[in-house]
Amino acid sequence: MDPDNKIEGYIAPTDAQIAARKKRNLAIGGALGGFCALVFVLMIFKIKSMGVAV
Amino acid sequence: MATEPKSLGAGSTEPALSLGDTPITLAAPGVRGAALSLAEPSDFFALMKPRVMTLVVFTAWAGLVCAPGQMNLLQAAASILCIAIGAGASAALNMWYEADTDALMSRTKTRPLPAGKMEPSAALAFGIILSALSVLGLAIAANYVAAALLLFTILFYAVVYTMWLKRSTPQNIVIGGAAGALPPTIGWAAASGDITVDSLLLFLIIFIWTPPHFWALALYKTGDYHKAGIPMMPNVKGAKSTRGQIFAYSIALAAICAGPVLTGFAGPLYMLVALVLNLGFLALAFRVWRSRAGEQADSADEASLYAVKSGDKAARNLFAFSIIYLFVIFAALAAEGLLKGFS
Repeated sequence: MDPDNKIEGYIAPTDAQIAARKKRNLAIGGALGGFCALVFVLMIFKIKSMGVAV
Repeated sequence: MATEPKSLGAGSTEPALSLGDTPITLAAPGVRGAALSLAEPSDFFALMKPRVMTLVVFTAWAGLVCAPGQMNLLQAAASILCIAIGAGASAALNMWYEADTDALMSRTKTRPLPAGKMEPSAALAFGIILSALSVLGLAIAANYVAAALLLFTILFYAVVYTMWLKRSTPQNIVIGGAAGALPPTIGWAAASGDITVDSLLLFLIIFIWTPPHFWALALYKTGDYHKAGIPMMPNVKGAKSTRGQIFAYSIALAAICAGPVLTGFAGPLYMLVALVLNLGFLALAFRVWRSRAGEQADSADEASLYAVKSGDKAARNLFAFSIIYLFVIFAALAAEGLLKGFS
């Protein structure tokens, strides 16, 4: 990186903080994925139970 | 002597909390790594009060299996999951609002916010997002009645109980107990789409059970609540009055437990279990009434829920028994509900 482009006041995260952020991101991704899958399955199930062919 | 702010390395430079006279800032300016939080998923899970959640899940499940409607396994599991997440969301909002008083009590000072593991705004966002997802999820998995009840429960716990009642009246847990008493009614509504007298009886059992349960704990944690400025019954009306009220509520609880038998909703198994449990509850509440529990200042300063001095043992025993009581009484109701389903 060009040293002239260095961001002023940038605070470099520690390794522990990066690791914690990675775990948080994975958890958020997993939770959102799980929620979407749940809504999808429930929708399919409800549509089927109404007698509509899927 | 001036005290230096404690840096907790979680990002903001604003003082967010204080521990006694010690202000806490969540970061020290210019320090490497001050911009990112160290909070892990387990800290967010702790915000959801998992122990309380187990009771919510269990009573909601009991309400669901007792209800007359038919529900398939997938929808039932999704409904219970949403109710559990809703309960966790309201707990997170509660912890966000109570971070200052939690820091003062031995039982709660290790929670993620007073321990400085995350910023309050993260807990607030977590609580709001989970609330929205749980209500939306329950509307999809079950019906709008159940979803509306869940939304009401979350708002009642977070706003009416946490923000208003808890710090203003010794009747806080009596009125606020309504939020904790609603899960079986939500489970019932998820399965049947309705609120009936029987589902309200399930609500009433937990509603009347709540005051003796919490006041038994408050009797031997008086010092803790006093330190935090929370007007629990023993701090305001005294230990003797609280012990009397515990016994009075225990009699009311026994009477309410007869309700499901009288309406024909519960059968002989529940009747037998309820009889034995209520005799036990009344006996322990009577012991509390006749004891001197709550009259020793700072009787249990340990973080443990169960460590007490000898004079407070009666209160500790009632508190511990009350948890088993609720599990077993709802297990009996659920067992009858399941048996009805098979027959």
